[in-house]
Amino acid sequence: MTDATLSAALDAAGATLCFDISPLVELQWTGIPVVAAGLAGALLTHARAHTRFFLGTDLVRTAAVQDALARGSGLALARELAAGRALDGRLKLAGRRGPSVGLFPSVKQVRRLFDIEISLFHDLSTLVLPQFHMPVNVDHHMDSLRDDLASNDLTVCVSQATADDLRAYLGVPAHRLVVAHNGTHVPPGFALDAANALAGGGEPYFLILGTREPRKNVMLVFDMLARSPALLERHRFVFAGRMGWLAEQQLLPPALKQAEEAGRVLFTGFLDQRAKFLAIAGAQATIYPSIFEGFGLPVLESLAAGTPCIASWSSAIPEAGGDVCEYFDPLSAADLERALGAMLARRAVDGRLADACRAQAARFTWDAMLGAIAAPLRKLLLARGAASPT
Amino acid sequence: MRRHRASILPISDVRLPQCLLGSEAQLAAFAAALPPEHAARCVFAPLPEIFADARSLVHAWAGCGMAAPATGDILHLRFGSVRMARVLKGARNAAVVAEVVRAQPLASSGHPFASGLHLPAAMERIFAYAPIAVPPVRVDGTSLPVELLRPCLDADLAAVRRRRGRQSAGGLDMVSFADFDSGAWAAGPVPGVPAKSDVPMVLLPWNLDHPGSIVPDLLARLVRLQDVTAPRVRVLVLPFNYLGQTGLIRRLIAHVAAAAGDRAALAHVAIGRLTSLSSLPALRALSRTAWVEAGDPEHDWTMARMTAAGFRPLSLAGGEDRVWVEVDTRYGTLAYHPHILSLRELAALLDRTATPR
Repeated sequence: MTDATLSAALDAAGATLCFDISPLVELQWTGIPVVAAGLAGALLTHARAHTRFFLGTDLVRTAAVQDALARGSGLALARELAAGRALDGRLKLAGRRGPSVGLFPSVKQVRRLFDIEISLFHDLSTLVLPQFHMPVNVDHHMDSLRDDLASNDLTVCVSQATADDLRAYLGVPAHRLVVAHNGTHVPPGFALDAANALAGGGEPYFLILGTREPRKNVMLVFDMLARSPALLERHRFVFAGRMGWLAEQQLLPPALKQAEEAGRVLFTGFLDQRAKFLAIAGAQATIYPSIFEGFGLPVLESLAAGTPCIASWSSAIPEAGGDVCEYFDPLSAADLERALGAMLARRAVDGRLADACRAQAARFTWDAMLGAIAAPLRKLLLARGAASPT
Repeated sequence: MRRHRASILPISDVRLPQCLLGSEAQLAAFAAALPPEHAARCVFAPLPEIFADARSLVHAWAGCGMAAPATGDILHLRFGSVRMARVLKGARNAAVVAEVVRAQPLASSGHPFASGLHLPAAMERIFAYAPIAVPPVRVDGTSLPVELLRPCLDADLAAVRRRRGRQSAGGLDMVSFADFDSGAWAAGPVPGVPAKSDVPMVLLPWNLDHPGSIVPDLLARLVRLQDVTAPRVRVLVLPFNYLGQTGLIRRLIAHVAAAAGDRAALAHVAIGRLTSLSSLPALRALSRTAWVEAGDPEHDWTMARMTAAGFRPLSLAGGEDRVWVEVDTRYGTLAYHPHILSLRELAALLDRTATPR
C-alpha cells in the first residue's frame, strides 16, 4: 500500500491518525524509540495532513516532533513538553466527522481512547524469558500486555517470530495480528563521513553491539576470547552499548583484563546514531550475540552500513539478517568462534559481500513498515462503514 | 542464571547441575528409562523459547551432529514447574508435571504464568506423575488432557545400582554456609568433606522454584533454637530446580546469618548438590534422614524419590505458626502466608531426628 492510498483511505473515512510519541521522550534513542522515530517520519512523509501527535491525552505540536526527529534525541522534546511549549491542547475526539485512529509504537499509556486502536509489539521476552529482565520491567510489560491486546483492533508485530510467540503463548488469533518489520535509514551524510573517517585505515576490529545486560549475552564473546586468546592478536574487540541490568555480571573476566589494558578490548559506552554508524562502518564485522530479540535492529544497522554481521540465530534475528549473516548458537562460544572464522573467510573471497549486506538492509524501510500497517488499517476503516477510497 | 554449553545437546551429553531432585532428576530418570533406539533420537533443549522456526532448529541441530527433523515431527516434553513451561514452536508440546498443589500468592504478578495455574496456548497435553488437585489450564482457560505417567522415579537409580562398585570420588559438592562462595559454587565442583562429628546430619531439599518456601524461615528458626556449641543436628540443604540461581542461595545464607547472630552457627548448616548418582552412597553415609517441606508443590515426588534413593523422608506437615514470605522473583514480588513449625514443634522434630532408631 502506498502513501497515496493511506492518505486517501484516511481522507475518505474522514479519519485522523494520532501517533503516541511517548517513546520519543527518551534521551538516548535505541531500540523502540528508533522504531517510533522511523514510523513518525514515515507518517510525516506520507500522511502529514491526517496525522496528529499526542502524549497521554494531550496533542503535541508537529514542529516539536520534527525537531526531535532531526536531533535523533528526545532531550529537547522532553524539555519543551515540560515547559508546555510543545503541547497543543487536548486531543479533540468528540464531534468529529470520521473515526479516530490511535497508533501506539509501544506499550499504550492510555487505552480505549480512540475509535480504532493499533499498537506495536516488539518482543515478548518479558513474557517468555522473565529471568532476563528486571522484575520492574516484567511488571511494567505484563500489567499492560493483556489489556493492550484486548483493546487493540489490530496488533502489529515487528517480526513473524513475535507474532508466532503471541499465538503460541497467549493464543492470540492470527487475524488480529499483522507483521510489519522494522526499517532502517542511513542519513545521507553518514556514508560520506564514514568514507572520510576510514580513509586512513586502522587496525581491524570486530564491533559487538548491545547493552551490557544478560539477555544481550556479551558474556559469550568474553567466553570465546578467554578460550581462544589468539583471536585478540589479530583483531581488536570493541563493545558498544551502555551498561544495563546486572552490569556487574557482564564485566570483563580477570583473564581478559590484560587485553583491555593493552587496548585489544575496548568499551565505548553508548554511541549516538552517527558515532555508531562510523563504528559499524569501520568494523570487519559486527557480532550480535543476543539470546532473544523481537527483531534485531542492530543487525539491520550493520548491514545498512555494508558491514557483515555474525549473529545469533535466535528468535527473530534471522528475519532481519536473511542469508547474508553468519549465524551461531547463542549458547555456544565454540560455535561463535566457528562463525567468526567463516565470516572472515567469506570476506576474503566475496568482493560483493558489502553490496549484499546493503541489499538485504534495503528490503527493510520505515515506509514499508507503514505500508504493512496501512493495508489492514484500510480494511478496518472500510469495516467501520467509511467510504471506500479510490 | 545457569549457562548451558549449547542450545541442543544429545541427551547422553547432558550434564545436570544436580541429579537427585526436581526437574533435573525427572529429566535424568526419564532419559535413563528410554530404550536405546529412542535415546539416540532424543535431545535436550534448555531454552526452547529461543527457536523461531525450522531455520534456527537446523542450525542448532547441526551443532550436535544430527540432522534436524521437520518441526511437525518433534515432540517437545517440558520438564519443570508449570510457571516455567515454555514451548517449542512448530513442535507438539507437552508439559511433564510433578507439581500436585501450588499455593497461590497473596500478592501476585500480572505475568500470565506467574501463578503456576496457566500453561502456554500451544501446550497440547499434560503428563503428570500424580493426580493434580487443580490441573493447570491453557492461558485462555481451556483445559488440557492430563495423562498419568507411570512414576519414572528410579530408572537412573537402578542404572547406578547395576554399576555398583564403580563409585566415583567426585559428584557430591557441599560447603558450609560459613564458607560459601557463590563464584566457586557457580564454577563447581565444590567437593567438601564435612568435619568428623557425632552430631547427626539431616537433608533438607529446597525447591528454588517455590517462592513460598518455608525453608529459609525454618533454617532461621533452627539456628536460633540450637546451641551453637552443641547443636542437636547439622543440616545439609539440597537446592533443586534451576540450580544456577546462586543469588537465591546467597539470600538464603544472608537470611539465616541475620537470624543466627553468631556466625559460628553457620558452620552447622551446609549447602550441597549431588552431581552424580554414583556418589549417592557418599550422601547416604552422611545422612539417611530428610525433612521435606509439605507445602512444596513437588512434595509428593520428592518424598517418593528420596525413598527410592534409600533415604527416610519426613514430611514437615502442619505447623502451628504462620510466616509472611515476600520474595522478589523473576515475576515480580510475590507474597505468601504459609504455615511453619513453631519453635516447640521444631524442638520435638530435633528430638525425633537426633535420637537414633
